Amino acid sequence: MTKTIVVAACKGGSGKTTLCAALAAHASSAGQRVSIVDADPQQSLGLWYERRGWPENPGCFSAADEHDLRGTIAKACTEADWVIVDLPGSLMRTDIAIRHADLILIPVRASMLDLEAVNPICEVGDEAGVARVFVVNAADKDWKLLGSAMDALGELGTVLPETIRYHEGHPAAMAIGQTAAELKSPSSRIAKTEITALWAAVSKRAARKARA
Amino acid sequence: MGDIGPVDLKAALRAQLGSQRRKVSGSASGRRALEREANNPHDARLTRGTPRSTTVQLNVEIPEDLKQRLVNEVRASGDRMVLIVSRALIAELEKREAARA
Repeated sequence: MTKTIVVAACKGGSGKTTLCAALAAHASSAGQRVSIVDADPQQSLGLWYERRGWPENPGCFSAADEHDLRGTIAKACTEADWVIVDLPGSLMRTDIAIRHADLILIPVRASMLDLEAVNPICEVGDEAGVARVFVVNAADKDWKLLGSAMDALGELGTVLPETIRYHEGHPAAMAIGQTAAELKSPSSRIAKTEITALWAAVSKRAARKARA
Repeated sequence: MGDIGPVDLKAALRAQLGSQRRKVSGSASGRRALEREANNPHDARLTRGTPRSTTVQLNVEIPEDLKQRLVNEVRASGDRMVLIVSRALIAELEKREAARA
């Protein structure tokens, strides 16, 4: 049965699109059939998919129209084991997508600006009864803010221990339709390790529909 | 390790719990309302600028038959709807202003 992971945050710049691409590419390379749904009017994930060369796996569906989102997710589900939905940095469309989710992945940077934007997503997720987890994104393990952010998020729900460090490879790879883990650079191994661990954690939770 | 001192984000979040702004933007209903407001084109904000003038969008409800007459006139005359409505508004407003003068 197809599982749907919705990557949501009420704030731009948290890394939703980059994480969607990284997770989708990783899962498809691991033999899973993956569909990505780009529900962000900016269509960054769709454009990344084009730069990637329009592959069959992960396949890509665009839902630029709010009214079309439900149908688009349903269609994506018919063609994949996993559907990963990228949303805009707002509640717009997020409500609809969350109702179809098995798991909400909320990327949060270790910053006050990100932390104070998570509540609406949590509320919508809880109303819909969908499990949600936070992942701290683009943080450095040496940052004092990292521990502080994880501590603060811990009061709001489950925080995955698998954090994603800031790595220049992420934005660099997005420019050429790849992911940081796919780059042939020594430092890309770190990104690969982190995304592999994140996918393991996220897919496990989505599969069991864990309640955060 | 960086050279900044410790920052307690949890305490910083708690410190603003009483903020009205935080209550609105930090709740799903408040956030929806803010986004609706921001996306609503019918609030008379400046929506379009042309080299000759700037216009604002005005949200008014008019009877269906009046709208149909307006559409018919646009088709018959080839004039832009905004021109016809503007002329009608100007005539009515000038009449009212003259009556008060």
